[in-house]
Amino acid sequence: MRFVIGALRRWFDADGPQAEGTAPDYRFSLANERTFLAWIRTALALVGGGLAVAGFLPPLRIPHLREVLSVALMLLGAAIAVRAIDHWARAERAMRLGRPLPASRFPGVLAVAVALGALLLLVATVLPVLR
Amino acid sequence: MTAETARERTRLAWRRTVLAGTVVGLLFLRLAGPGAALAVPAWLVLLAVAHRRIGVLGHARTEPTGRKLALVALAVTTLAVFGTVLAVLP
Repeated sequence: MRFVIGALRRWFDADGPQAEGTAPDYRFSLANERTFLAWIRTALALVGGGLAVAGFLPPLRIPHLREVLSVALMLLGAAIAVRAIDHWARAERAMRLGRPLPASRFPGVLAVAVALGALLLLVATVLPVLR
Repeated sequence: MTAETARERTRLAWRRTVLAGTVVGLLFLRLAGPGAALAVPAWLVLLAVAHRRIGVLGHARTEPTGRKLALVALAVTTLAVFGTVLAVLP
């Protein structure tokens, strides 16, 4: 609970009156905001994709694969939205304090997860047809 | 990049985000019917924050955005959780 409240406070006050450091050139803040929005759109695309899979995909040969895929896409969307605001707040704080921008492994992890998911799905859909 | 270009690009990014959110809202409507009403508050939060930010970015003013961006992230997370519930329910 304390972790959640701490995270919320960090997100809410990253550039507020109580934030540490000095405000950077606001063009940099706007660039940070656009990066946040790009991640939010990625999250929305995954949520939309999950909804489309649940609603429009006919049942697959493997039982419940459709539901698993749909839930995985939407949970990934939720994780991306939370990570987007956390990264925005950390980048804003770094810019205010004149520190290097925070490094992140998340884009790499996401790319590998999506690629693996796509491969697994390909195998799961092609194998039953070949048999 | 000039300050005006930066503001214009950010305004357009908000518009794209609202469009993406609206598409997700329409998918909810198609899948959940009247149950999609549960997704409406989250969509309204996105719309309200975007409207406010687009308005502010039209002038040479700045304002703290942390709260607004956190609200958008929480709204999208709510949509994802609601969608997950929809997909799991028979």
